[in-house]
Amino acid sequence: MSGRRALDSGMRLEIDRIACDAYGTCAELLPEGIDLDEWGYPVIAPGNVPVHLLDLAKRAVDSCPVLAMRLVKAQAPVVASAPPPAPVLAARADRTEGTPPWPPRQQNRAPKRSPEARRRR
Amino acid sequence: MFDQTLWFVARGSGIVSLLMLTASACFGLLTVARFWHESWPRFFNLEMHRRIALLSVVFTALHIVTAVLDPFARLGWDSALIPLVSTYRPIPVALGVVATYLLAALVITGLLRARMPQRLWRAIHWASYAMWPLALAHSFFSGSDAGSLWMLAIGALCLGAVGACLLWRVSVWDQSRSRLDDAVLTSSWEDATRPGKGR
Amino acid sequence: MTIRLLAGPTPAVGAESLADHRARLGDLPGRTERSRLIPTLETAGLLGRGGAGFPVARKWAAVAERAKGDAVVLANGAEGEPLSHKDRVLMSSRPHLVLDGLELAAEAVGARRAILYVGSEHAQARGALEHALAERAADRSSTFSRVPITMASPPVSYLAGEESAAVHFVNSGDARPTTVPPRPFEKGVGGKPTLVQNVESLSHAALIARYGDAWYREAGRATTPGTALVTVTGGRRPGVLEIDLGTTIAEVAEWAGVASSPGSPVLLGGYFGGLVAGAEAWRLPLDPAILRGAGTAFGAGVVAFMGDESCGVATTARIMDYMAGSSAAQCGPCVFGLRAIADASARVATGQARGDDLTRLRGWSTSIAGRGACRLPDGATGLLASSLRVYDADWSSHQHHRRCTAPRGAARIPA
Repeated sequence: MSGRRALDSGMRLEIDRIACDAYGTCAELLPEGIDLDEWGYPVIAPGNVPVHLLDLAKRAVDSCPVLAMRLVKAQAPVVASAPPPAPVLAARADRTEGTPPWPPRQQNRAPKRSPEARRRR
Repeated sequence: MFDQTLWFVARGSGIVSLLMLTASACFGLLTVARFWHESWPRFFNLEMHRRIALLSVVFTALHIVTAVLDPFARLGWDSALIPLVSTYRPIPVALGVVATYLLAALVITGLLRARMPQRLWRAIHWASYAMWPLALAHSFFSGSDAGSLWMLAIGALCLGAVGACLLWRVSVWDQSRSRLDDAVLTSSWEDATRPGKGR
Repeated sequence: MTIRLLAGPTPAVGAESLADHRARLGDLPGRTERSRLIPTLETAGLLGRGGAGFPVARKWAAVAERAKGDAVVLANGAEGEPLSHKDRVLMSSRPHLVLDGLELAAEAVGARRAILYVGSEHAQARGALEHALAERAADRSSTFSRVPITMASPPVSYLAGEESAAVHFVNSGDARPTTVPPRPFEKGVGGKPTLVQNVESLSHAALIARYGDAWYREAGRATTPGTALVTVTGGRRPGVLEIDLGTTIAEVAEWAGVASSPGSPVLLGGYFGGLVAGAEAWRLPLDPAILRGAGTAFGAGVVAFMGDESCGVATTARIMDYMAGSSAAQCGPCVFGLRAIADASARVATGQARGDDLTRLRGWSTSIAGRGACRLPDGATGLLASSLRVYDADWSSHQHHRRCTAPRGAARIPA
């Protein structure tokens, strides 16, 4: 069963890579969007945070002992200082290759209890 | 009767506050020490540290208010807010007064952490290493329970808990920064081509 | 070849004096023309020469609109890329051109302060600029700008020329990159909007101010107009060359007296760049737009011919080791990722590969980029990815058969 496409919240997660010290609490609280690499540092799913995961994302941001994570409004890239010098070579995949995308809403919900089950309780 | 009640609450809430501050200190140390286990997730330590610290404010406030209101203890508001003004056990009470101000600074900067420079926050948070011992000393010497066996036991328990967590924290001192520096300073090529190696 | 920046006496004779500079190029334009400099640079299509290739006019405009007369301009001559020498050659031989550009930029963006950022070990460049500053101080008529110019000299390192590192050094003496945002154009030296511009870019701007945008666009053979300095190694005649943008790699090879066969690997852009190989690659015009479309980059204008004879795997391994050692040691993915890459590639290169080394190298070549505070991991993994492609057969041979297929086998670091 495929999930419905997740609604875009317009916010994305940003990390201060210098402050980040691989505590790993963010990945614990938001495994749907944050993975840890082999050294314990976060890999964030590409794109904006889906609406249904926004609360968890806020908790994940809050949980960082060094406040290395932020939720920011997603916007068009800022004007002047450049995009990367980009030896972006044709054969090299997007840097997020291998990072699973944000899951759709369906997978995140606990199965609903039927009315009979609720009445039985 | 009523007089006694206030005094009981003052003592009880003081002890509870001490236990909470101890627990909060332990969780804080475990956060930095990155203590975790399959059944003790990483986010647990910081969450508990913050929540228990906030709760301890409530009990500290209760402790101060009931102690001041209690007619028997002869403590006025000035004694509670200004160190060494108290005529009842001035030094131990003063320790408590100072500890309370430090606690207030810690909690306020903790709540405003995201809005302040991190170096300032960190500098103020070091005050916790003064605050907790002051609270412990205050509880040992100013209460009428001081000296009783069970109070000593509680004190020993608190000291032991914080001591153990402190040891754990010290064992990982600065590990992360030196790990990074060490990894940068080696030379893979030299290591691979050292005489005696292949090729 | 159109020679503009390096027109005049050959760089080998040293720094051009103020008198010679003015005799050769004339005076800078008057105030009315200077007030139109940013739109002129826009029409000229001048791109930055520090490696990113960002439109110069847009950068100046971004600083100008945020400045309240208190901006700072930093002329970036740190040249951390070991394979690049062009900025040093420019500063040593044409210091007044660099200073013209710096003063023009300071006026255009509304700056109150200007800084020359040159590595402390680059004595010749520093000396030339210091002498040039003294000449200008003695001759008041040579300068229209009252902006004080100071020199800042970080220890030479790969990352010292990164723009946030430059700002950080001026602010605190620590030449390591910082977390952005805020970027220097928003909040840089002393918290003020700061223009960090490469010295070659400033020099081009100084000429465009005199001769105009149409003049600038007369040079250039392909898409992007203008000339650029490139550092060429691997031929009988290594050195810094000024080319029309769009000149092909093959033409540069001819000029440099490169002995290796056409189609042998070429490193473009430097350690921060990528390898290309093949006859078609040698026909590539050295034009930022075209190179980006071809999946590589002009970068800081390094064209290093690797030759047919040395071992590409070993060369790559040594470059990866250098990059890993150049890390500022601030971000985990960079520190541990680049070190893992350096370790694995050194093992593969020296015939000590572990079973999964090559597989893991391929994985790391895409998983580490973008996860540091600066672009060092991006640059290093970009080079690695290009090497894995260009020297694919060699990597396999080293990994699976512990055999080097290169005639001479030893690592050749382009000098």
